[in-house]
Amino acid sequence: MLFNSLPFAIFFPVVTLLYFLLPYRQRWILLLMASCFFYMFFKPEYILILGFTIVVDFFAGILLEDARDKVQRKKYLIMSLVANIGVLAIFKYFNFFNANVSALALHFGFTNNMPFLKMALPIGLSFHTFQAMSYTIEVYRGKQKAERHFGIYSLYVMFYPQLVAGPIERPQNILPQLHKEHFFTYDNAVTGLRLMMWGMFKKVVIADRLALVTDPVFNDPHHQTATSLFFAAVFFSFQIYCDFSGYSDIAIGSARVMGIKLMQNFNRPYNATSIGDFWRRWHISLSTWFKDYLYIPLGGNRVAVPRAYLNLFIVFLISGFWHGANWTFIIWGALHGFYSVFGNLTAGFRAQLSKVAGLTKMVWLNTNIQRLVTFMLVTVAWVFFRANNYKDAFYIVSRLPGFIGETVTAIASRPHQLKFGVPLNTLGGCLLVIAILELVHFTQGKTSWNSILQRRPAYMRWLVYYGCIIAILYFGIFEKRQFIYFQF
Amino acid sequence: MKRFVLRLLLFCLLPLPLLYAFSYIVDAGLKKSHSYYYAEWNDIFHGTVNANMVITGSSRAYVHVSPRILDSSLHMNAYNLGMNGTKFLMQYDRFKIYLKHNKKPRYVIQTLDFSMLAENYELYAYQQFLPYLSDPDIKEMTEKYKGKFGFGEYYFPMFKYNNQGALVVEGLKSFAGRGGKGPKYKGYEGQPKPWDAAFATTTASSAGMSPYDQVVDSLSLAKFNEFMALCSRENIKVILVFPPVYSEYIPVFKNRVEILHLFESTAAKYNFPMLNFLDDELCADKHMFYNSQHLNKTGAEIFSRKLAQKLSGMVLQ
Repeated sequence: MLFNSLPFAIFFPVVTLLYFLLPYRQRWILLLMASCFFYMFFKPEYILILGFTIVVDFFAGILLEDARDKVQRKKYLIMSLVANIGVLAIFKYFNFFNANVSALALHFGFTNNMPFLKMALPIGLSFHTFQAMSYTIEVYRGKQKAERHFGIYSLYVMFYPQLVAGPIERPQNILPQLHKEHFFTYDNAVTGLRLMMWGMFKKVVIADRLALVTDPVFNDPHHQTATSLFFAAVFFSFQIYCDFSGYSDIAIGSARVMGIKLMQNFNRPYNATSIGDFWRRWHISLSTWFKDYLYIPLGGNRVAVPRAYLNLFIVFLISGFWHGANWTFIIWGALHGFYSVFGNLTAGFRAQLSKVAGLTKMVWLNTNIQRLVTFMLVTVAWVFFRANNYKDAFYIVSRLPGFIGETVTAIASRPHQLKFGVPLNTLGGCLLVIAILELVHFTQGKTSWNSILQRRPAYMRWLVYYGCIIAILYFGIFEKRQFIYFQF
Repeated sequence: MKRFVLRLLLFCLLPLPLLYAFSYIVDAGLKKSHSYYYAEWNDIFHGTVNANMVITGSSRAYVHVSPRILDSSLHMNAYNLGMNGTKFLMQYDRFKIYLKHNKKPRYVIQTLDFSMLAENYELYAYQQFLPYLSDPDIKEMTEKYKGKFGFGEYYFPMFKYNNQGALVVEGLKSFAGRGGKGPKYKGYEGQPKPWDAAFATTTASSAGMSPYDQVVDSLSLAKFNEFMALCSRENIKVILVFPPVYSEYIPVFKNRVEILHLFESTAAKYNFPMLNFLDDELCADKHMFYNSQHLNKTGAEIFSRKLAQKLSGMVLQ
């Protein structure tokens, strides 16, 4: 079920109302049934895959906790990890490996007769698999007690708001909340609904509007001007942010109405002043997952410098592969790995350069230059993320600098012939929604919107809500577009 | 919780009267409008057409057949009901709505094309139906095209005008009696455009434009027969007209002979005439077209004169 659909507009209030009407001890049943219904709305049979990992991890957790020696504990952990990664390997990566083996075999004059798996990728597979893995790892590490209530554990993996696109929660945050009785509070309801409204605005008003420009360009990059490629690349940066953070906001908000607090997933990522900073603000639940369960176990930065850089690069590479079984995602991950390593290597030199240029005295300018450079680097990487294949991506990136020449030439000779690749009113609409987003972000930098609204009289708050709802209903794009991260 | 639910209800209900009133004004305005697609729909619904000759079909009706020329040559009151981007099912539905609100015509010129009886799931220019969504005939007509209009468009005030700012403005202006005027004359709009070369580009591309068999949809064929039977029963004379097509494009349809034969045999079955302009010299003159299937204004007006000439022996003036 899509958050931006009529079925969800019915589903959410009904489930929430029933949740508070039911006695506390029966609420988990309602939430579990609602979550199953929510997931099965996409494709019912995929719930069997989810069911398999839930059963394996539930028992693995109990066995892990009951095991007397370390070897046995390790055995159960490996069993759980193999089951989870195995599911990912089969349903997400098998066809990719098979295609590459075929290509390699063909290169050496052989043929690979292994058949391809003919089924669509189960929605949100990487998200719930990672959430399930974090449970067994935490139990193995002794930081989490094994959950002995099968229903509650199932709900931990399947809780509908974050089931298909996160945030990827930790058991320490969610499991106690699922056991606890939550009472309806006015504050939770209003805060949650506000967040949902803002998430919906980001999705249907901003992301889906920008998609009207980016989709045709990325789907046919060879027939575009450098200017339209440039705009599509920049717009995609905002599109993916609004699409994904919009989903997260709706997820966090809908859980919040029921009194359940999910972790923050985004923190104004395009305000980042470095790639490291970007990853502390973007998809926080995934970056902390990789940090806790991959980067630190690899040794983190408490190893020799070259090894620390290698660790960093490996984490980003795997992060790219986590997103999708395609070379474009691997290159995207590698690019971020390269940025991070290069950024660390040159940190001293860049600081020196800033000092020489006198930028350290102009903090505002220095910060904004850093933000701009970070945004540009991230945007180039997003091209690989969005492009249909890596050849298209390299082509688009190679043509991006041409935007400057094209613009200068057009302004100098024939300003009226400046081709943006999209109608001017569409372009204006896109720039306007980005400006609104940035304005909101700017004010959020000082204080949260929640507290800004809280201090205002009721009529002003209502005017803001009405404005937002009118924008969603009358200026939103309702073309049943899925959230980008559903594919992962 | 009670306080919250009450406030939420108040919050939701408060703007509804305003939105309904606004929606009513925009709908009422567009129902008076003469711009965009509304002039013809409004004429139909207001019962002000009452023509004795109507031209039905797709864009190949609305850009090809000039009622002004037919009126002056045949001393008729002709009206063009051609609908851009449509196949026969939609054209027939519009004709039925026309009959419901207007005096039945004596003649119907049904224009033909090779893909007229093909299946069509797309609701082209859905905006034309927006002010009429509450009309049962329009609702029934558009419901066949799944996915375009849902609960929100039918029942939530103004939601149907999502991202249609220009239409809303036109609705408001027309409501105040200051609406725009469209370029059409009795449903016809000549296209003063040069040849757009899209056909040449497509044929020259690596994909090319390879000939194919145009599949005839059984439902469309059944409805076509129903239309012919209805007109026959109502003493409305149908004249099937196949307007010119640019000659290099005709071979794209591999089964063109079969399709033409289907039209001819259907016409014969109901004892109606058919005029085929596929052999006309206009077909060979690229300057008369703006694309492979559409005559430009000059071509359309020459064609309309030729059509009037042929019709003069067929109609009672």
